[in-house]
Amino acid sequence: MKPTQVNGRPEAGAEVEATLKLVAGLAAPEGLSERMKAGLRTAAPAKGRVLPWPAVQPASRGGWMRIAAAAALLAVMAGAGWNAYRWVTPAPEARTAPATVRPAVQGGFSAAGAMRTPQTLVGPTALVEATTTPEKKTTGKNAKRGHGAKIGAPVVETPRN
Amino acid sequence: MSAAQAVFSGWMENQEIEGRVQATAQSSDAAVAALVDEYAQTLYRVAYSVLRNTADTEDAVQEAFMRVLRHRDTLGEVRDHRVWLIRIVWNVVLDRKRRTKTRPETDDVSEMARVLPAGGLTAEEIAAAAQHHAQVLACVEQLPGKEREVLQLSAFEELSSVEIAAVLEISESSVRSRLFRARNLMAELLNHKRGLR
Repeated sequence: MKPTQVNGRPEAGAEVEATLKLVAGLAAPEGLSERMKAGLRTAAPAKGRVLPWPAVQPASRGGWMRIAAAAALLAVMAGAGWNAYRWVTPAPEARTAPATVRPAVQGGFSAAGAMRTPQTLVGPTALVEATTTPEKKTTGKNAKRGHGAKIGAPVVETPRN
Repeated sequence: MSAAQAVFSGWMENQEIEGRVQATAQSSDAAVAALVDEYAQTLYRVAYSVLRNTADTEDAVQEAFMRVLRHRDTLGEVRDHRVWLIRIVWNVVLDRKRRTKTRPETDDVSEMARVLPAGGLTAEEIAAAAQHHAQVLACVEQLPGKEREVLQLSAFEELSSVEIAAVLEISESSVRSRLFRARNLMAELLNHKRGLR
């Protein structure tokens, strides 16, 4: 592209163009292409190889081979599966009595989790009178011996004639 | 046809397929090698105009050709190999510059003096010229990215504005307007620098 006049000052544009062209026109170092090629050779990934016979045989020619191989593979797999089934013994059943399961009471109440709480309030008094037990009459003999006497009362000794 | 004949003919066919694949691979490798011979110098100069560092520039060009190698099977679909390659190396260079933020070698006046052609100039003249070019390049680095890219690519005489537009994937009118802005900004920056001295 042609250098242009900048802000009415041709020298400003010219000197910028001159510097940039100087940098852009610097020659590449010698042997650059060879170094690039060598780098590409070492870094080039290995090309995919066409698999040899019989993997890519057309179906019309190598079809029977493929079928036979598939059948053999299937037979081997089936045999291996049968062997595994035969030789693997099932684990014996546990000899434990099953725990009795209590049937849940439908619609009932349960005392599980219940908590006793002391009565802190004065409850209502019973209207029924308490029955008093009649005191036993002490006979003379018993009275002398102190039977039937009240506890704590002084025993009076009577002199014998 | 017997089974043995069928197997033999199948084997022969596979050998042919393998030969064709190898021939294609060899031809695409040869095409890449031809591109290296043809455009390695151009790509180096384009990359150097941005990176201004010899080792980094060679690495960038190598990386660009590695990308080409990855797409060697689709080389036939490319219309203009030169513009395509310059676009690849340009993107590689911008990526590298963004990642590494390396300081260009030519920021040093001495390095600029090393690359300057010493055609009948005295040592003092070379030093003065180197200093001047280093200042101009420092001003270029201060430009906004879009304007700087267009200005740097415009320095390559072999690239038309249409090709620059193709490399940067913008319209040709955008190239022209950005170039105009870049030159104005450069003039302002240079005047400002002179005013400071």
